[in-house]
Amino acid sequence: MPDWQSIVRTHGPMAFDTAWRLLGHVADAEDVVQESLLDAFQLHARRAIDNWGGLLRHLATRRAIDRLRRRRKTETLPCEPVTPESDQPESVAIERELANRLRMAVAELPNREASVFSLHYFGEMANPDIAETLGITTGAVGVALHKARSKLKRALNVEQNDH
Amino acid sequence: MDEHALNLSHDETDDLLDRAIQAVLSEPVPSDVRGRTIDTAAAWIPMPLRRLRLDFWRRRSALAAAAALLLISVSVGICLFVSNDRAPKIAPAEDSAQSDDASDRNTGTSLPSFAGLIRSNTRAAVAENAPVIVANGGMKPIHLGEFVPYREAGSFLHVWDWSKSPMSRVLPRTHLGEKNRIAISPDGQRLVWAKGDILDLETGTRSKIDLGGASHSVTGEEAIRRIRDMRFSPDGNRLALLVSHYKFEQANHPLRREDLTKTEVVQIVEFPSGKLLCEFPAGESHRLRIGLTADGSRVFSGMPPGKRYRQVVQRETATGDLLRQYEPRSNSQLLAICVSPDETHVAACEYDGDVFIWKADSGDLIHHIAEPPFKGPWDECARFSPDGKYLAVHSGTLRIHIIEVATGKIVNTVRQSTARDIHWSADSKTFTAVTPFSHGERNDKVHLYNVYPAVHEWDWPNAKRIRSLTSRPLGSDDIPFVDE
Repeated sequence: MPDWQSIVRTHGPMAFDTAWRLLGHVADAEDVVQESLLDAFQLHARRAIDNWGGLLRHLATRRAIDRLRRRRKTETLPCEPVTPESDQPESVAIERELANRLRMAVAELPNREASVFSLHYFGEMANPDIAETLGITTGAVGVALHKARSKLKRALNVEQNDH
Repeated sequence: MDEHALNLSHDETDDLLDRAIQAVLSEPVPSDVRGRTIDTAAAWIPMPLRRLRLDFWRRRSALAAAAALLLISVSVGICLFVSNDRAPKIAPAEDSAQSDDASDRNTGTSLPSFAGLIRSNTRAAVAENAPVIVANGGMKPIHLGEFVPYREAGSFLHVWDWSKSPMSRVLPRTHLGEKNRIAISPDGQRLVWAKGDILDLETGTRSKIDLGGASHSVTGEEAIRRIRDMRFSPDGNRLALLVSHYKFEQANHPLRREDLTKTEVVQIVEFPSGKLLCEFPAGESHRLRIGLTADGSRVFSGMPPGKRYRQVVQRETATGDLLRQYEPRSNSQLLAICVSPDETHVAACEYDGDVFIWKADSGDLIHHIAEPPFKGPWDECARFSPDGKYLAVHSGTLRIHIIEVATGKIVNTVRQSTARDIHWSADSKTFTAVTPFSHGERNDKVHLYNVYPAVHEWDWPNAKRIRSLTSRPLGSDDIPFVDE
C-alpha cells in the first residue's frame, strides 16, 4: 500500500476540486477535504481500501452535500467570493448565480442521486468507477444519474426570487 | 420566496442544466488553498509510541489491560512485532486493540494520528530581528511548543522572549483576538493591531495609528475585513498592509441591482505617522508576499494584475513607481520573496518548488534552483543571511535548505518539518527556526489542541540542532501548518 503522503498528494487534489465545485466556498471545501481525509483514515483502520481516489471523492461528496443542506437554512452572503477574472461582470454574475442554483438543487436530491450526479460531473468519475465506489451496479448508477438530471432540470426550470 | 415556472422546452432545460454544470466547472479552483490543504494533510505525523501506550492505559480498565497484556504475552508474533517495531505507531481509530492490529495489518506502515481539522482560533506574530513571539492564549503562561486544549484558547496577549525563557509573559489587560490582524516591529518592541492600537511591549505604553480601520463598516451585516495582513519594513519605519477594496457596481438585472467587486492592494504607510506612501495591486491574496529593503525604500512584490503569470517586480515605496521587472515569470503562486540585507539580491520561491535568485539592480537571473525538487514553503519563510552569502529556504520536503548565493548550490540541509520564520545569527553560522502555530487532534477521542510555536536553533554547517525550546519530544514537534 502506498504511504499516507502519496495517498494524500495523489488523490487529495481531486477530492478538493470535487468539494470546491459542490460548495463554491473556500473554507468549506478546505474543511470538507480535511474531514474526508480523516474519515478515510479511520475507515482504513477498520478495513482494507482498494480505491483511495474513489473513496476520497465519495466522502468529500457526501460531506459537501451535508454541508450544502445545512447551508440552505443558514446561508448568507459570502464575505470572500472568489471572482473569476472577466471583462464581463454581468455574464459572470449570471453564471455564478446559475452555478449556485445548481448546487442548491443538488442538495435537494436524495442521497444516492446527489452522490452519483456529483461524482459523475464534479468528481469526473466514470459510471463503472462510481458503481464500484458506491457498491451498486453500473445500471443503478445510470438510473440514478438520469433521475438526478430530470429533477435538476425541473428545479432549474423554476425562477426563484428572494424577497 | 416566489417561484414561477420558466416553461422552457425539454431541449432548453437540457441546455440550461448543461450550462449550470459548465458554470460550476468553470469556476477557478483556489489552487493556493488546495495546495495548503493537501500539504497539511500529507504532513500529518505519527503519534509517538509512548503516547499511544499512555492513552491505552487511560482508556481501559485495569482488568481489560491485564487481559490484553496476557494475550500479548502468549502471542509470540505480537511480542516480536512489538519488540521489533521502534517506529511510531498510529493511534487506534476505535478504542480496541483489535482495530489497532487491523490498522497495522492494512497499512504495513505508520499512519498519522494528528490532524489539523479545525479552524484556527489562534493568532501569532514573530519579530523579524529579535527573539520575540506574540500570540493569544489563556491566563496561564504557556511554554513554547506546548499543547493547549483548543477550547481553552484565550484572548490574552502572551509574549515570549526566547533568549530569556521558553515561558510566555501574560499581559492580562491586553486583548488579542484570534481574528485580529497584527504586526510586530522587527526589534520586537511594538505590536500594532489593524484597528490602529499600538502597544509598547516593554513599557506597556499604548498609542494609536490611523490605518483606516481593520474592517469595512457594513450596516446590518457582519463587518467585512479590510486589512488582511500587516508587516513592518526591516528598519521598523514603514508598515505594509494587505488591504481589500470593495466596490459596488450597478447591475442590469431587474432583481439584482448591484454587484460587489473586490480588489486587493498593498499599501505602504509611514510608521508611526500612518501617512500613506504608495498603493499598488497585490500579487497574492490573503497574505503579504513581499520583500522590503532594509530601509523600506523599495519593495519587491508579485505581478501586477491582469497578467496570467506572476512576475516579481521592484517598486519605489515613496511613489509606488515600478522600477524593475524580473524574468522569468512564475506560473504558480509566489510564496516567499526576500531581499538580501545588502540589497544586492532578491529571491523568490514559488509554490511549484522553484527558487529564483536575481541581481536586484540589474534584474539578471543568476540562479534558478529546481533540484533537488523543492516543494514550496508553507509560509513566507525564506531569508538571506546577514552577510548575504546564503539563503535559507524552508521547503515542503520538510527541510530547510541553505543555498550559497554565489554558486546557487545547496550547501547543506537540515531536517525541520515546518518553519514559519528563520532568524540568522549575526555571524551567519547558525540560524533559528520558529515553527508555526498548528492544531492537533488525538483521533481516538475528540481531543483538539492548539500547538504553540517551538524554536529550534541550528548549527547549519554541521547540520546539528543546538537547542530546542519546545515542550514536545523532538520529532513530534513539527505539526503541519494550518491557516492562521
